[in-house]
Amino acid sequence: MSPEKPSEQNHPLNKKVRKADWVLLPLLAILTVGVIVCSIELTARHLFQESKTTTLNCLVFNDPSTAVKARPNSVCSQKLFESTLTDYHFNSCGHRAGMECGPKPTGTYRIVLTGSSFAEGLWVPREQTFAGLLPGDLSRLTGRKVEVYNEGMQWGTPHSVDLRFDEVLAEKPDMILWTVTPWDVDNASITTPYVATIANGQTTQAPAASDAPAGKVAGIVRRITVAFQRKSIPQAFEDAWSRAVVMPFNETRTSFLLQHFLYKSQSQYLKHYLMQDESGAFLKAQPNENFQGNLKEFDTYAADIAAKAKAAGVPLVVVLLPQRAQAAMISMGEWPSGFDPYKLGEEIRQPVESDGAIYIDVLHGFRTIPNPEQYYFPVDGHIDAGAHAILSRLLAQRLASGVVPGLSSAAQTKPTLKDVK
Amino acid sequence: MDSASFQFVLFGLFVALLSNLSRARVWRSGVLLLSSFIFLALLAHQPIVFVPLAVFLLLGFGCLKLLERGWSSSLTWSVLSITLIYVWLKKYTFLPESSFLHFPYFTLGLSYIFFRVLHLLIESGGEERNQKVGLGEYLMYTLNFTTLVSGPIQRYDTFAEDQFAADPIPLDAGTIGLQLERIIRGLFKVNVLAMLIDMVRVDALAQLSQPLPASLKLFAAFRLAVAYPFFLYANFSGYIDIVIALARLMRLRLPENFDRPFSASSFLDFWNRWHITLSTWLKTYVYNPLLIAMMRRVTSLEAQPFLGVISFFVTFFLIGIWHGRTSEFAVFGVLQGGGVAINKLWQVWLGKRLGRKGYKALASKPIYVAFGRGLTFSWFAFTLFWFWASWSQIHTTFGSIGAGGWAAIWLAIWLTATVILAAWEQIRAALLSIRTADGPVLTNRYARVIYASALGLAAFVVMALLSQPAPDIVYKAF
Repeated sequence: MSPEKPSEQNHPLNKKVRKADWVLLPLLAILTVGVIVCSIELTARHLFQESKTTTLNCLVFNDPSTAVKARPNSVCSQKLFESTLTDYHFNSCGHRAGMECGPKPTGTYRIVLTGSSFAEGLWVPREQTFAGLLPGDLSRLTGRKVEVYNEGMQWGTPHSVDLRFDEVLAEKPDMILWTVTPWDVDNASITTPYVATIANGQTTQAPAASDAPAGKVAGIVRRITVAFQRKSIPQAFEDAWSRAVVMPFNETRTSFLLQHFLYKSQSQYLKHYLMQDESGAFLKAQPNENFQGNLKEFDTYAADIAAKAKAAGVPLVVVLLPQRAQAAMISMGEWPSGFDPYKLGEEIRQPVESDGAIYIDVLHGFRTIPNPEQYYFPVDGHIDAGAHAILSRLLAQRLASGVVPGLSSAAQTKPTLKDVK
Repeated sequence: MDSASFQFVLFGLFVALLSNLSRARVWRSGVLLLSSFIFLALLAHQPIVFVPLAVFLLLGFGCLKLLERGWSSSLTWSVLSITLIYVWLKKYTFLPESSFLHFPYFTLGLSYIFFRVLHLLIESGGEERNQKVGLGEYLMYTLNFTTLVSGPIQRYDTFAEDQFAADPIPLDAGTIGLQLERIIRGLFKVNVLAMLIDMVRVDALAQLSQPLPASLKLFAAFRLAVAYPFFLYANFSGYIDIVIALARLMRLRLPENFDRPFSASSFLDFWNRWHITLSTWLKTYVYNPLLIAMMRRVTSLEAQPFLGVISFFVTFFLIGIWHGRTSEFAVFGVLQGGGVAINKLWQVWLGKRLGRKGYKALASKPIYVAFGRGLTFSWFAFTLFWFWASWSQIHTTFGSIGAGGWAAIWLAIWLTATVILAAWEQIRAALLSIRTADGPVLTNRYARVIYASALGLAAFVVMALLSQPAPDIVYKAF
C-alpha cells in the first residue's frame, strides 16, 4: 500500500535474544564504557600534567593588612595543566620586576606597573610578559629609554593595590600603569582570598562542612529532605544531578581535556561563557545589581588610588584588559543582543577620569586581531605569551599617543594596524 | 522538550511504557492523545497561544467532514483556504504585515500539520475511504507528539494501520534493543556530532570577516561550505532517529526520512534520500498531478521529456520555499528546482545522445558515479547558503574571498567530496562484507552494543560537561 514501511521483519537482530545474551550484552556495555573511560582519563593525565611545585610557596596570602604579596627574594616555579613550567623570581621587595627595587638609572623613564595576575604575567616567562616587552616597544615608539618596574601580583584586586600603593610610589615612578581586568572589578574588595592552605609545602583543601563523621545515611536523607523542602522538584533533581554527576565529573582530567579542546572554539566558548549568569555579568548591556555593587566598590578604591597618585604628582594611567570572551566578541564585531563587550570599559573610564587619572583604551585594538581568544589558556582563562605581545604593542601605541606628558611619539611615525598583529 | 534533549527522550520512553500497559486500541489511543496534549502544554503554558492552531485544525476537520459527506466539489476551495490560512499564520513576507495577528501564538510543527491535513483532504476528496476519520483520530494523527515538531510526514493510512490495529505490531526484546540503540545514536548525532560540526561552521564564518591572510580565509570558506550539509544531516536525522524509535516503542511505525543522502550520485537521487517524506509528499500531490495535467495538454512526443523537467522544477521550487518565509528561501527554491531540472535535462540529453543502453552503461561506471556524487554534494552545499544565511551574511561570505576564490573553493569541494565519499563507500562496503551467518559482523547485536555504549557515553559526557540546552532542531522552525 505504501512504500514507507521499514522492512523490520527481516532484520537479523529481530531473532530471539539468546539467554546468554541477557548477561553478555550488559557486560559488553560495561566493559566498553570502562575501557573508554580509563583510556581517555589516562591519555588526559599524560597530556595535561601540572608541577608539584607551586607559586603559593612564595606567597603570603593571609595578612589582610598587605593583601597577597610575595616573600622577598623567593623563587618558585609552577606548571599549569595548559602552560609550560614557569619560574617566578621575586626581588628583595617581593616584586616580579626583573630588576632590583631602588632608584631608577639616570635618564630612564620609569613606569611602575600594578594590577593582578595579568600584570604579574602569571603562567608566562617574565621576558615574554607585556611588562617585559613594553620597554622595548615604547622605547622604539618614543625614542626614550623606558623601563617597566612590575609590581603586579596575583589576586591584586583594587583593594590590594590600594593597600600596597605606598610600595608603588616608593619606586619613584614617572608614571603608574594600573591594568584592571573584569575579575578585578568582580572581586574589588578581596584582600585575602581563600586558597588551599599550605602545610609542609603541600597544598591541602579545607575540610568540607558536609563531611559529618557519623550517620551518613541519616545525613543523606536529611539533605534530600531539606533540598525538597527548599526547592521545587525539578530544581532539586537538577541540584542532585549536579552534585552526583556533574561535579565529580568536572574533577576528572577527562573533563579538563574536553573543556580544553571544546573551548578552543570561539563559538563554543562564547556560547558556554555567556550562559553563565555571574561570570558573564560584566558583558551584559544591563549589568545585574550584584555587578553594579562591585563596580561601586571598584570606584571607591580607584578614587583612593587616584588621590594618592595625584598627591605624589605622578600620572596614573588605568587600562582595562579584556577577558577571553570579551576579546573574542570584540574581534568578531558582533554579539548576541543584551551584551556589550565595550560596556565595562566605559563604566571604568568615567569615574577614573573624574578622579583625575588617565584612562586608555585597548579594547578597540582587539577588533583588528583575528581570533584573539586563542591567546588565552582555554580553561584557565589567563593570557599566554601571544596575548602579552599583543597587549604590549597596543599599550605602547596608546601610551605613546600623547596621553601622558613626557611620553609621546609625536616625532615618530604613527604605527599601523600591522604593528598590533 | 522540543529538541533532542534527555527530557524529551525520558518523556517519550515514559509514554511508551504507559502505552504498552495494555494492547487495547482504546488504551493506546488514549495514551497517545493525552500525551500529545501534555506535550503541547509543556511547550507553551498559556492556552491563548494555541487558539490559532486550534482554529486551523478545526477548519481542516470541518473541510474533511464536508468531503466525507460527498461534497467533493469543495476540495479545491478547502485546499486553497487551508493553504492560505497556513501562509497567513506563518507570516510569509509577501503578505502585508498589517494583516497578521499581532500577538504571540504557537506555530511549532504547523508545517507538518499542514501537510497532514492537506493529505487527509486530498485523499478524502479523491476516492472513497472505507472508514471515516473521527475527531479523536484526526487529532491523534495531526498532533502525534513524535511527529509534531519536525515530522516525519506520515500518511494517515499507515498511521491508522498501526495505531488502531486490533492486534498491534509485536514488540520483543530484540526490537526494544534496536530502538534503544537508535535513540542513543540520535542523541549522539544531535548533541555531539551536530554540535561539533556547527562549531566548525560558526568559527569559520567568523573568520571570514576577520583580517586574516588569504590562505586562511580560503580554508575557512572551505570549512564553512562543507560543514553545513553534515551539520544539517546530523541534526535532523538524529532527531528523526529518536522519534522513529520512540514511536516504534509505542508500536507505531513511522516512515524513514533519510537513506544515506550523501551516497546519492545525482541531485534527483539525492532528493529520494533526503527528507524523503517531504519529497514523497510533494511528488505525490504536486509532481504527479502536474505532469499528468501537462501531458494531457501537450501531446507532442518531442516535448514530453521536458514536461518532466518543468514538473520537477515546480515541485522542488515548492520544497525550497516551504522552508521559509523570506526571499532567501525563494532563491533556495529556485536552486533546488534548478538543480533537479538541470539534472533531468542532462539525463534527457545523454539519453538522446548515447541511447538508453549507452546512458545506462555510462551511469554505472564507478568514476561517473563518484564525480556525480561529489557534484551532488557540492551543489547541495552551495544551495544551503540560502537556507541558513541572511542576505547580509551571504554578501559578507561571498565578498570575503572574491569570485575567483570561491570558484577555486567549489572546485576543491567537488574534487574532495568525490574522493572522500568514494573512499567512504569503499570502506563501508569492505567493512560490511565481513559477515557471519547472521549478517555483517559490524551490525550484529554485539557490535551494536559496543558502539551504542561508546556513543551513549560520549553524548552523556558532552551534555553533562557543557550543561547547556540541547541544540535546536533546525527543521522545527519550518
